[in-house]
Amino acid sequence: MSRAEKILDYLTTTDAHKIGIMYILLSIINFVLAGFSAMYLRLTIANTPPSSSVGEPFNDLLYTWFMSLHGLGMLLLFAMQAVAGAANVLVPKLIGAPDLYWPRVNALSFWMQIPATVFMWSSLLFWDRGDSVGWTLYPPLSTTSQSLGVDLILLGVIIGGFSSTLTGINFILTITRLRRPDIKMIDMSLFAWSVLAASMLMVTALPPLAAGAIMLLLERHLGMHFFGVASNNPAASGDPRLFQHIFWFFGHPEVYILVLPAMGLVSEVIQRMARRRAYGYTAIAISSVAIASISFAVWMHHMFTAVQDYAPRIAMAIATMAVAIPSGVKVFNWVATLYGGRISLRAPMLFMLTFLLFFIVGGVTGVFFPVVTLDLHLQDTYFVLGHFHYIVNAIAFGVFGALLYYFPHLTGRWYDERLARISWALITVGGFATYTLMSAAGILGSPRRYAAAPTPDTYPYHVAMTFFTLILAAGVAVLFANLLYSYFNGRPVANREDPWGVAKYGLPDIIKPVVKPHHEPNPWPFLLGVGMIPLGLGVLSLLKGVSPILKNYAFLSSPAFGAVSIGTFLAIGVGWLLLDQVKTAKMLRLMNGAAHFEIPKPPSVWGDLKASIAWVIMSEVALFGTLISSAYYARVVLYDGWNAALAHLPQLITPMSLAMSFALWGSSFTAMAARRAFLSGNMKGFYGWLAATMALGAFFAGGQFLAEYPELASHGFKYGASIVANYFYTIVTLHGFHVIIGLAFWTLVAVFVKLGYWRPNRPDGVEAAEYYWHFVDAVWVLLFATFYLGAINSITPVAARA
Amino acid sequence: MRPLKLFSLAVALFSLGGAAANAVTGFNPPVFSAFLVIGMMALSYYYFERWYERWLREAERPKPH
Repeated sequence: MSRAEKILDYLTTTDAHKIGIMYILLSIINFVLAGFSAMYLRLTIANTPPSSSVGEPFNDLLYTWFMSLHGLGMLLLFAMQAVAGAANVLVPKLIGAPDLYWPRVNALSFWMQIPATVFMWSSLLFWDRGDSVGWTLYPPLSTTSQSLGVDLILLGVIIGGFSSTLTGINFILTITRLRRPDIKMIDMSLFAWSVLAASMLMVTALPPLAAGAIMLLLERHLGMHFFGVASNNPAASGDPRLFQHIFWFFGHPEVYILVLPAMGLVSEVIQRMARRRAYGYTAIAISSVAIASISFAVWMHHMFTAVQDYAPRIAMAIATMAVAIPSGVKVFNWVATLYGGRISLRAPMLFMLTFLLFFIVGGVTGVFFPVVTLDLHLQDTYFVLGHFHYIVNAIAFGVFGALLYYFPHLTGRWYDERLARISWALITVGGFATYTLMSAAGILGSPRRYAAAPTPDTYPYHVAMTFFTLILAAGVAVLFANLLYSYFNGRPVANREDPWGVAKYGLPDIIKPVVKPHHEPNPWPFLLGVGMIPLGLGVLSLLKGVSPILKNYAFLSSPAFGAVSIGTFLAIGVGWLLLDQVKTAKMLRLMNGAAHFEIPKPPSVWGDLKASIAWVIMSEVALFGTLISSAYYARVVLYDGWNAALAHLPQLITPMSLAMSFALWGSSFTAMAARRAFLSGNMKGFYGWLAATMALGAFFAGGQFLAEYPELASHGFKYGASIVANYFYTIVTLHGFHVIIGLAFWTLVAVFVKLGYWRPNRPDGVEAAEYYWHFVDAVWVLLFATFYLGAINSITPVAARA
Repeated sequence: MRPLKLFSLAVALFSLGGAAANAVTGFNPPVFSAFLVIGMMALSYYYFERWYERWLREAERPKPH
């Protein structure tokens, strides 16, 4: 295979193994970039004595941009991609699956990481145009910064989050539905267990982040103040703490999205290097799910200084302390696995043992934070940095240890053991010393994010941190140099399928699937994924006319560019559909449905259809749930402003809105009738009921956008005019888009039924469209009750009652 | 019933009951949401335990379909 062919092969691959390798390579690029950002931070601080300003060659504004991108790059790019890469390479092999459940969607997920990466790092081009925002994207900085870089970061966050949500659904379905049928859930690889738990978190935690990022964009460009203050208008002002709630509802599960798979890698490698099966398999497996459950009830410990109500503080403090239980269970079982094992202290094992060390210290420093009084003292100090750097470095140890362990399998060559040990020693010493110094400086009162030590007594700590960071960087450089050198010159591996000879202990690295995988090359995921770069710029160009920020950027040429780029993106989507999906559907029809989903399947709580659509709907529930909860939050917290806005609220219940609503709810029944007709083989009835469903849906969407919105606007009820209008238009429009998506879904189903792909004896597509349609209708029940019937306005906070 | 399932169900019932009681008697949003979040957390783990028991049963009597 020539080099050009090889590149083309990777660009069009749908093979999880190759996609995994691309994820890992991209993650290493992001790790290096985010690492250089960290070096800039440390060198700036070391070169800035207390009480002096940042001097040449460093710059304080650029410092804030590198600070933001160090966090975003390490967490949302490097770690997410490394975890997804490891899961792509290993999960199918450890559970005997031929590939991922949706191989093409998996390829799309990867290629969406390219625009996410490009957008985030290209934000640096606009560093001198305004403030940066930190990795937490907090308003008011993120809503008032005039830099286009903030918008690029937000676009990267949204695209990356969407990619990870798809990845999460894909892995849940792969693990529960594509496992080799003779492998039971309770005898499955521990890495697969941890990826399953992390995937559930991805599906439920990332949509809220996208919602928060979209709200920030709406506030920046359309003046919808969800988080900021509108000048002299309390009725149109938001609350900045709301973003903190949204961000940390995502942010804390995000930590577990990263650490759980790393824990899974530790479980796998420790078993193989100790030459024995894990002690307490069940406890390790279900503690992953326990950690995932608890992670959604702890977010306010990141904002104890912002939330002053005692009840949420106590609830979150208890839940946070409870995380220590499943975490402790895991650590105990890992140590117990080592007991009595024949331990081989090769480099991967050294990395994994150091994971344990860092995780324990990081965990113990973490238990300080749920103690509210202590938390108030430690908030935003270097102690926080020390705590979470122990944990994220532990994640890096897990990922790099696994990379070394699987390097012979991936490349067919051995890495250099001596260099690997040197890199391990340098990273361990450099990392541990840096984070310990961070913790100490934090206790002494060093605030995070500052470009200089606050007082002379903490300055030596910061200089020492910089010194040890250089040692850490040297370790990472040795590690990557080792891998690069070994890729070309390493000792060849005798048996790539079992390089470490662990199959004889009942722990094979690769379990063969029942069906030999066949990977069809496909260029469309690449085109659609990379097409999101012009799409993102196109959306910003369209907003240029109304945005006070974007009008300062001449290169965002014109709305025409926006229309062209969005049109191109849609054309790629339609091209994929017509040239690939329809062709595949015709081929599968000829093959009488010999698709991957008809291979022998394991028993499961839910079948393929219900499991797929349920997890898709779950992600939508998280998205709508975030926005609707935000509206209720605003009602309670911004009580007076909300009431002032209500004074100008036009009549929402009109004959038109009632007709639209009943049409939408009625379409649920016609959809049900369409499915019943389809199942009984009555195609005429199916198309008739389907046409009725789509007509009712189209009446709803058309009525909303073409009749109701202009009518409301004529009464002065416009977006940005009041806090009620902001939430109304955001949530109702999002729902309107979902009705349009539902109509597109039905159209596709009709086409595929016409092609003979979905048949009465294989009705999954029709049933999926029906479930989705019911979900969209159910959301409208909630929205109708909330806004039209005014359920939200009936809530009165306790303080207002007195 | 596995002890963890029982425990998470008990926590879920207690917390969701607390949320319901708060909603009925002088609704206080922070208290309500605190109970609700803890209750939903425990309920999600209870739900997982139900799956887990199903997987245990499947492991004993494999019935591929």
